[in-house]
Amino acid sequence: MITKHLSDTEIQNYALRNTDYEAAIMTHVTQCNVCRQKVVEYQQLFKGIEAQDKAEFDFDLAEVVSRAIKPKRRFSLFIYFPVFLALALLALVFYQFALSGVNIISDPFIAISCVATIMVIVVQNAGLFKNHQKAMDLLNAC
Amino acid sequence: MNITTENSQDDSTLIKRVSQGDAAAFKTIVKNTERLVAQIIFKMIPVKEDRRDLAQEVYLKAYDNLGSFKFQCKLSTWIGQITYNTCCKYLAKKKLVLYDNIYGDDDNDALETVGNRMVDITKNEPENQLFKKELAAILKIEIDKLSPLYKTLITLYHNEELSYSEIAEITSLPDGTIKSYLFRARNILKNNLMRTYKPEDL
Repeated sequence: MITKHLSDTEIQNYALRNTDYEAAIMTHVTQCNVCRQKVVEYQQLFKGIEAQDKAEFDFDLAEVVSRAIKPKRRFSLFIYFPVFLALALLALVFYQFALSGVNIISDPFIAISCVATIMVIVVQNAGLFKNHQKAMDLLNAC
Repeated sequence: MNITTENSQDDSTLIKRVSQGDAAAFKTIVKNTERLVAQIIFKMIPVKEDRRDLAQEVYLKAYDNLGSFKFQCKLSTWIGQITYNTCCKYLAKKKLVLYDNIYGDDDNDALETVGNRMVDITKNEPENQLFKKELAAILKIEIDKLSPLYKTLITLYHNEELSYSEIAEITSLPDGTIKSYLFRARNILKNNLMRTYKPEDL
């Protein structure tokens, strides 16, 4: 028989009903008005906490997140092929420069170098435009 | 694939799909875990305007680091861990206090009269219903007064029904510390409730 009042921890555990009580504690609670009252106070408190409204975002988080996510890029030969081709052509032009000198560049080489430069610019701008669109989508989502 | 089927998929299937570039799979992960994330963010972050950015930051971090998830815990627990750490960093940056140990010890004398009323009220059903509503409103105010850590622990344990070990994983605190903080938080909550509101107010 427990003659002293129960500790706050014992009372909380009893109110939570998540432990195996010793018979002595159970007997004490049934016989002691002060401890029983404290158990009821805690049980009311726990019910009150559990009845609280659940926190919720007032916007579609999944949608906001999916718009902000940058897809993981995979290395693709198809995407980077124009870049490789442009670099190869530029390398070829500069090789011809080195061999032949500036004044004797033939027309085909000038044409090739122009095409290569244009391709590089197109690829770069396409990337810039894509990023700009993503940024605008993100801003629109906010 | 409908949303019910998607939600029932296990963590490993969803992660595999995300790694293959399936955006819908990550959306499902967000939907499955956003309640836990909301509970932590709402309890830890006092500034409403920052909650949206933080929630987004949590999931961007989760997406970027999904490859390093080792299945040592549930995916929701891992995301909860990211949320808690992100919130702690936010609080540190804003120089806000996570855990405030200024509360006093028991004040049992003040509790007795209110406690008596609680016992009486539980016997009377209509009055009991009204009392529950009033108590819920008052409790909300009192919970909000607790430190962010205490609020979070109370919510995770009582509202999300997480175990001590799951809360320990999220907060990286030992189980024993979680238990003792929870006991203390509940005690403070009860004492503050009794101290702030006179029996006739309740």
